Amino acid sequence: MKAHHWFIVMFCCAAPLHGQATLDKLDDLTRFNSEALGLHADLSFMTDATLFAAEQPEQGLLSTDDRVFFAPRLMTFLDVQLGDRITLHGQMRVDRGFDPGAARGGQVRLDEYYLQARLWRKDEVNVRIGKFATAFGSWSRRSLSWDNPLITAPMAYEDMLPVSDALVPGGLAGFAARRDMPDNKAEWLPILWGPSYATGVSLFGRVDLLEYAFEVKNASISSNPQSWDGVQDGFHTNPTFTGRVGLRPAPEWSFGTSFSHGPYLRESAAALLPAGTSVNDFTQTTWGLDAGYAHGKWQIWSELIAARFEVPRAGGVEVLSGFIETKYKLTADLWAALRWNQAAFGDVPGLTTEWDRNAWRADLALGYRVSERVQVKLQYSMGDKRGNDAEGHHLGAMQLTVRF
Amino acid sequence: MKQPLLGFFLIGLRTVMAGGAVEGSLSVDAMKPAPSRPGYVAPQTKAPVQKAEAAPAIVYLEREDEKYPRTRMGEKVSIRQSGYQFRPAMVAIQTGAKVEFPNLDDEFHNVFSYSKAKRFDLGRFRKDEASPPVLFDKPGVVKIYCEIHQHMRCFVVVLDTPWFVTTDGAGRFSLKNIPPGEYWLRVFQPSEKLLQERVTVTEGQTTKVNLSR
Repeated sequence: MKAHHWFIVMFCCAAPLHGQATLDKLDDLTRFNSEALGLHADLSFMTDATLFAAEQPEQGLLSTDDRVFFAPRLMTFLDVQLGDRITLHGQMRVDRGFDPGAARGGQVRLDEYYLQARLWRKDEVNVRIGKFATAFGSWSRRSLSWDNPLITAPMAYEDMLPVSDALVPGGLAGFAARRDMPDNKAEWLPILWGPSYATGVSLFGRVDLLEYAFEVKNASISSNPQSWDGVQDGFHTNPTFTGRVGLRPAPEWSFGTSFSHGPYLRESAAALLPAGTSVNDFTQTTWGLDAGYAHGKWQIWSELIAARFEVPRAGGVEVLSGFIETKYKLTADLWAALRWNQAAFGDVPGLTTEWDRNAWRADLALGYRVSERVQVKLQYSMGDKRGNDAEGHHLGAMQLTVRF
Repeated sequence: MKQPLLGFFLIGLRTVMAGGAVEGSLSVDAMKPAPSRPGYVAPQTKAPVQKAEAAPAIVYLEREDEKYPRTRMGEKVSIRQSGYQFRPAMVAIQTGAKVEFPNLDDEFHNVFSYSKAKRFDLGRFRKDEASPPVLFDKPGVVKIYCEIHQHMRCFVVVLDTPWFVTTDGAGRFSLKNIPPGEYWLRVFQPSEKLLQERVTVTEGQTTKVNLSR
């Protein structure tokens, strides 16, 4: 049986899950609560069965040369609450790579783990230490399949740029030539790599209408998932400083501004750098604006992100990327979502050509909640990089999510 | 058509005018603990999340012929969202009644249910903004949640019978003006467990029931 046939089997299994008594029982069995000890522990699970059908070469962070690719994923979450101040969280995943196809044979990873403490009476000051999602922007908070109205991430979080954390260009011409090459998904970087589960410490909180988060981590927000685990891999470069300040002037509105600054090259690139420079001299500086609106059946999010990468032997290159995304609940259980993504690139230093092709992509999705534990989504994406046929224009995807 | 209407009228009249009573007590258990939300997606709230109220049990009488006067359809029921909790956490209504969900918090709530007896989603609405009353037109247990604050839960128990009450803080209950006859006394506990016992209601008398064991 081919891999994607499993998806059809799982999809057919969704109907009986509507009753969900078994899932409810499983959920109950994996919870522990003791008022006397002030301890609440919850082991919960989420499974995704995602089927991608992409025109080759495929868009975004999907890595496959198959016309149809099946990406199953099991996520296990452990949440422990000690009293009303201390929280422990862990997230383990079994899948075919952090990004679909990155590890075709299968992989088990501890993607997230942290200890969090509430230092102040309410939520004014909290501290978190460990490996966790970035505070930059607003998309990370809805990056899990259950919360994401679509299946894929916005383009800024997954579209590969011809800038690398390991491949150091030999000169300006070599760097400029990358714009005409197909995306090198093993070596290139996006502006932000998904939720960027890098390792570090964060101070965050909320004071009335204001919310804030400042974090210091071992890797830049664009860094490859292989660079995220500071415990396993250590801290080899200067840290990356990231922060976000948000404002909620009314329940409907949220606004935020984010920044991030830090080196993006891996230590392994040091030997290839110009004499007298180190990986810490080549930084990624990113600034972002995010805005959200929600009322009734509507939810709208948008982000505008400007990033500058200092590239060895090429100089500073800039990109501006943004998206606007909306979700509308057609009925109690059915929604439609639309996302418009656009990216514009600055010139290669000293030349009059952009360092990558300006691009756009439209993502359209329909989602259906079978129950509070089962969800199905369909997505179609159409995109184009101006004048460049090195990337497929179309992608279809279907995703079944079950949580318990 | 006239005869059934007359029948219902007479049953209703008997309910108001006379009947027996059922009183008793039981050990009310607790709702299952709310599931955690994976880490960082748990929203920070503007004000502290207050403790949920202890949910009562629902005690109701049903009979074999399943013919009931529709005397409580017009009752106005309100489930508030206050301190990031549903209050009360458990209500019973008769089939055909409507429930309002006023938001008393300074932030959005998004009340929804995917239960078989009622699927609805009110969307995001703010404090003091009128949310449309929800009609519960099928009997069954409706589990209600807030999409934004996952710890928030409540039950609406939709019953065809009009003879239902919620227990008090000590687990006591009293059902009055019940037409004489044979009934199933059923209890829906906050833990979703169901207890039941046969009872006989006699005109002018009170039947005592003890479900505390």
